[in-house]
Amino acid sequence: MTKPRSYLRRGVLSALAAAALFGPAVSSGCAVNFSPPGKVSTLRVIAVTADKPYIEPIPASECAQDPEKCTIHFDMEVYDALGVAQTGSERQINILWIGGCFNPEGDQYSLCLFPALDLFGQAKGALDDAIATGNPPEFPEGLPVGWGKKFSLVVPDIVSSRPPPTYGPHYGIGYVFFLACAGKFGIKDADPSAAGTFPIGCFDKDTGAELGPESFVPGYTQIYSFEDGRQNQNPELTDVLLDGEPISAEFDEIPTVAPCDVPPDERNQPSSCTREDPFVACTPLEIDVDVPDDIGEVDPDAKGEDGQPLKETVWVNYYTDTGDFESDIKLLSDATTGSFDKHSVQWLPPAEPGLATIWAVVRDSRGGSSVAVRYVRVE
Amino acid sequence: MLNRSRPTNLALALSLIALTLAPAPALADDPPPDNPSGAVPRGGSGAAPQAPPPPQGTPAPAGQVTLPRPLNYVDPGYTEEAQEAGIQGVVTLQIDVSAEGKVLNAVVVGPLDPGLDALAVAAVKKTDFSPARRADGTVFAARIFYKYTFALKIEVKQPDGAPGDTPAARVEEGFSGTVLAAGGDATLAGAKIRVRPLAGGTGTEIVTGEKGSFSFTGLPPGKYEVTVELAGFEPLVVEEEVVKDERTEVKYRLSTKAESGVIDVQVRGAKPPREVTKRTVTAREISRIPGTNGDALRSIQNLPGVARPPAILGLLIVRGSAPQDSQTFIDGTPVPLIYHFGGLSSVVPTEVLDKIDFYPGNFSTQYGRVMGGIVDVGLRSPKDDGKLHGLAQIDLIDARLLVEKTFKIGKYPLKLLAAGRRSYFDAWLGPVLSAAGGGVTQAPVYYDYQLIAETNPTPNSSLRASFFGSDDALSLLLADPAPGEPAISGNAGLHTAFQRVQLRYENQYSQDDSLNTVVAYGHDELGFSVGPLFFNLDVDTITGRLEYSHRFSDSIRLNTGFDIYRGFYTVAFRLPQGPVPGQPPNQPFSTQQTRSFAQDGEAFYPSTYVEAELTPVKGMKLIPGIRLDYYSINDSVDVSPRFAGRYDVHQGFPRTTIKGGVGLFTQPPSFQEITPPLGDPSLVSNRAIHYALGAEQQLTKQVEVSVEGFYKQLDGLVRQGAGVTTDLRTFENKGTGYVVGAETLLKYNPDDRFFGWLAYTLSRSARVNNPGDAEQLASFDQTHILTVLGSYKLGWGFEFGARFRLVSGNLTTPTVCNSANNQYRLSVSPPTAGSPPQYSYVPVCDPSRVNALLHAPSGSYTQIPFGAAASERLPLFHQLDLRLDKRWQFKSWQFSMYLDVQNVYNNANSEGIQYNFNYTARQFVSGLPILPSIGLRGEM
Repeated sequence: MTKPRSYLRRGVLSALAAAALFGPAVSSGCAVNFSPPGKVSTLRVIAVTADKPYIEPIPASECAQDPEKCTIHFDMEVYDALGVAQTGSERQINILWIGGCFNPEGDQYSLCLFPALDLFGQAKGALDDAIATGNPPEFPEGLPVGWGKKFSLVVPDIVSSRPPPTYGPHYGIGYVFFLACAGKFGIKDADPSAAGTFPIGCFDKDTGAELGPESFVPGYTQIYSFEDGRQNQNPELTDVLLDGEPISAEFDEIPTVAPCDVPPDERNQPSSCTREDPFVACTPLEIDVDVPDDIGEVDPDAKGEDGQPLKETVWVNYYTDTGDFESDIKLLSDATTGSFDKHSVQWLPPAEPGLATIWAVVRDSRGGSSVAVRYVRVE
Repeated sequence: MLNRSRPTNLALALSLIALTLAPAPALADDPPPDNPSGAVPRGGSGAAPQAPPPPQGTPAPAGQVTLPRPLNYVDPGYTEEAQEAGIQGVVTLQIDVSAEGKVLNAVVVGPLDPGLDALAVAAVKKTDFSPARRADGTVFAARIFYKYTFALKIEVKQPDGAPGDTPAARVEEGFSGTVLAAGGDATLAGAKIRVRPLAGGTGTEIVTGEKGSFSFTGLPPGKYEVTVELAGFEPLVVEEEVVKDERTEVKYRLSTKAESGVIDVQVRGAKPPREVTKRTVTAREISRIPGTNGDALRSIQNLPGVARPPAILGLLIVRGSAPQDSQTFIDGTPVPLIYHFGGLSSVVPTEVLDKIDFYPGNFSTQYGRVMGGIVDVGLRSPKDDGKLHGLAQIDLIDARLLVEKTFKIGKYPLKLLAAGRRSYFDAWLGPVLSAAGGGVTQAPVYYDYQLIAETNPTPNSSLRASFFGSDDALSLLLADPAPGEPAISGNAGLHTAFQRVQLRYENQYSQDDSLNTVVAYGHDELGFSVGPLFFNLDVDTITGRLEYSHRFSDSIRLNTGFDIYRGFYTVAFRLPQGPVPGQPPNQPFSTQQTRSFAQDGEAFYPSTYVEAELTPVKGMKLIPGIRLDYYSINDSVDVSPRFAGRYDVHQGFPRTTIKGGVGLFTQPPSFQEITPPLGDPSLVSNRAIHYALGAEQQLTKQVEVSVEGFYKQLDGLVRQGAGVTTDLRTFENKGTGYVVGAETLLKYNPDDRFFGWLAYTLSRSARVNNPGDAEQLASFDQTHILTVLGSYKLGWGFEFGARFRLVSGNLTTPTVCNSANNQYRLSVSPPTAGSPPQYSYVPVCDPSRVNALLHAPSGSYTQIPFGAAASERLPLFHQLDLRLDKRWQFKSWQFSMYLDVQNVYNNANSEGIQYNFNYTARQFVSGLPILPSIGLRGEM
């Protein structure tokens, strides 16, 4: 195990470095008081993966004959930590998908909000029925909307309808919105301007009160299609490692670790330059991912300053619903030097016994991603 | 008779510099050439200026600074009342002599009698002077003291001092005189005077008396080396001759070592005589302003009209203009940078500066292509006493060295200066950053250098070759990607550099004609890369400026010139396209589809200008001018007429001046805006009309106040078009805007102990991006800018200074409502049948608002701005900085150190807003905490 890295030391050194670098005016960097992104404590969408990050442009006629060739399957990893904390189990999370917006002006997702709101209006009746009855909604035929953790969307050729750019590859783009809500959906702003609002809200199905970000996660994902038919594979994620050993995906074989006695309220204090470092008080565990050395694919458009081919950037996000990461994002492969050997992070188990969930999401800079979920038992 | 040879010590030259440029007026008590003895020139009664004159019309010796010298003598006469009353004595005047040798102003500072005072003023105004000249032969305006001695009968002039401080009653053989401090009338007691016969033999020495006087008696006739020494002052070594049966009277002026070690750098509101506003900050002020570490260019930020730049950005924001709207020059050659990393320090160290001309607006037609402000940095001439001089300084950030010496090549001086500076915090910052997880492959390093070779082909001309440049480089390995921009990771680098080879020639052919020209070849590099993204720009430039100035009469001078820029560029980049105006961010910048681009090209911008300086009445200066600019990049011509004027409503003390100006200023579109295929070559220049009106008022001899209102009308501003195309942005000349404000400066000019000022600027800078859009504040708008500073010499080599700043917070675009400062808005429910409208107050901040959307491919969140761009102002900025200097003086060198403490009371000034990962919470980012820094410096 590597020597524990000190938050305190990092804070002081970072502040010193920053002060030295930017002497005239600089952020001290010692007053961050935010929960890190890797700590899952509310309703969170951990990842949305697509089986075809890049889809080949296929004429609509061919798609009609073989729809699967033109279909992208999306899969959402979602977790309701707030429901677990409040009731011991996740709340009913309703998930809505809205697709069908291709090549908006300037490739701006915000210009898809109007069409999305229109589709939502067409689907609203079915949604209300579904939430009231608990049954899956029956959307009108052909409406590019979906329900639940999985969603499939037929994407025909979206390239040829768009003029080639002045420079760069000829491509098409599409947007798919997803909304995860611990209540029912409703229209919040019927007139979303180009900037400033999101038109759909999430409301308590009993009281009608609007729910905030702890219970409502809206988002979007992108579809790319290139004229040359290039592909992008989702990065391969073989395993999640705990202190160098794979964590079994079988629940009966999950590892058991000792708790860290530092109570949560002390861990959650602001990361000031003066607070005591919990990573010194406890022995952290090392969490890593097992990925192939050549995980970064060559990006056909990317050429370096000297014309050398470049790779896509690949990184891993770690998430957990309990315990604390020292760092929750690590680079796996960069554009110029390729694969990185060291991408583990340190994880501090919680003070209380229980089951800890650890997610590892490997993402590349071209929209590919892979997810692994593992559990660790804390004594 | 007195035969005075050229001083063998630099002290004399330096003392002359101090005499003329120091805030306290200098004493130049030369008598007229037709009255060399100093005796009253007529029978009965009369008056005469004191001290012996130089030969009439003698030009300044090359490499030596000379003061104005009278070319004629005007008898002031004597009033009957004074004769009857038997009044006699000295009237001391303070006079301002122009660069043309004319007396512009005369003020009685040592009165004798009202009638005689008036006669003295009238007489000196009719006196012509040879202008003051710098070491390089160029003329300059100077303020000097001038004395008239009124006596009722012919008599030998009383010496200022005599043995035992008793005036000499008669002429006798010997050698006597007075020792004074340079820059004033202060006599120096305790100075050691040592005389040594040049022919050999033992010398003798005495010490000056209480009034600074000394006298040697019994010295055999002959030549002597005279050494004058006093602790804290530069020693003076001169040759004197004692002539049989004659008495040699002298005055020696010693400059303090502190003064001699200070480079006199002037920061002016505009370069005289073409200015609307003139402000002067001396070297002592620059080197002692707390919070600047003695950096000259950073001291500009304390002047009125200059905004406090955003954190860690070394920007110059002048009168509400964008930073890119202002241009920096070094000796008339444009350079792309003014500061090293984050504004840590200037690209030119203070030690090699001669002056800084700062034009906040309404600048002369000699400058163009920008519509904001101008900073023109002048490099100084090397010291020319033949000695080797050096300087070394270190502080927490960098170390610097300077050496200079003048050689004689035949009859021409060859003045050489070499200076260099390198940051050395990479030596300790690299390990620190690595330990903090930064993965530093090359810690930040900057360096700059200046090489100067200069000569004087004639006493009135100078030729200088310079090579100077700057380089900043940084390389990092970002192993932990930023959560909001995860694809910005891996190897990252930044490099900026420029070099200039410059040739400058100046010739003051006569008092009526002068020629100034400078040409330069330059190379600029700007490059950065991070992961797969990069941007590289190389530009080779040829720039030149030639100006010829001719005075047709006392009231008309014409300046005309050419100003040429030619650039050859190579640009290559691979970058995302960036956001669309008016749209929220689409996704993390680094995950957007990128564009690769490479192009070579060139640009040719020739310009010509003509400007008249008219003096229709005494005290009034009117400067009409016009400038023509051609831009090859869009084949367009800009015509820019400008006008400025000043009028001294009251010319004596206290001086009252009104001033104003109006002019057109244009700025070509930037490269990416105008170059196909990125931009639109049909674009024309951005345009601004500057209006300014103000007044200056002397309150006391030391205190003056100036007030100036300004208005800048902006139109034709290049903006991204409202329409969006898929792969290219459109640009249009449809932006408009304005900057309106007032600035005031209440200044205590430096004296022996204190300097300080209060500067306040009230302004509003607004833009309308496209017709019909709502007006919005410019992102660099600062409503209130208040700076109060001062520095006081405590004695024993200590000096203490303080600076306090109170500035409106910078503007930012919020994503999350500031619930800590929540406001309520009136909500009206529509009336229903039988029910009137319902009014209620609801909080502006909606806790359920969707502030950001999850961008699933990157796992980060895309913010949805809460308000319009630059719609929230950060809290008020206020900060106190303190500085303590201590100087130790040794025989041949001096050592000094300083402690500069920024943000003394550790105020958490807000420099931005930080959000959590999904934009559900926000907090202000605090700026610089209390930060002490120290510096050490030795110089010889």
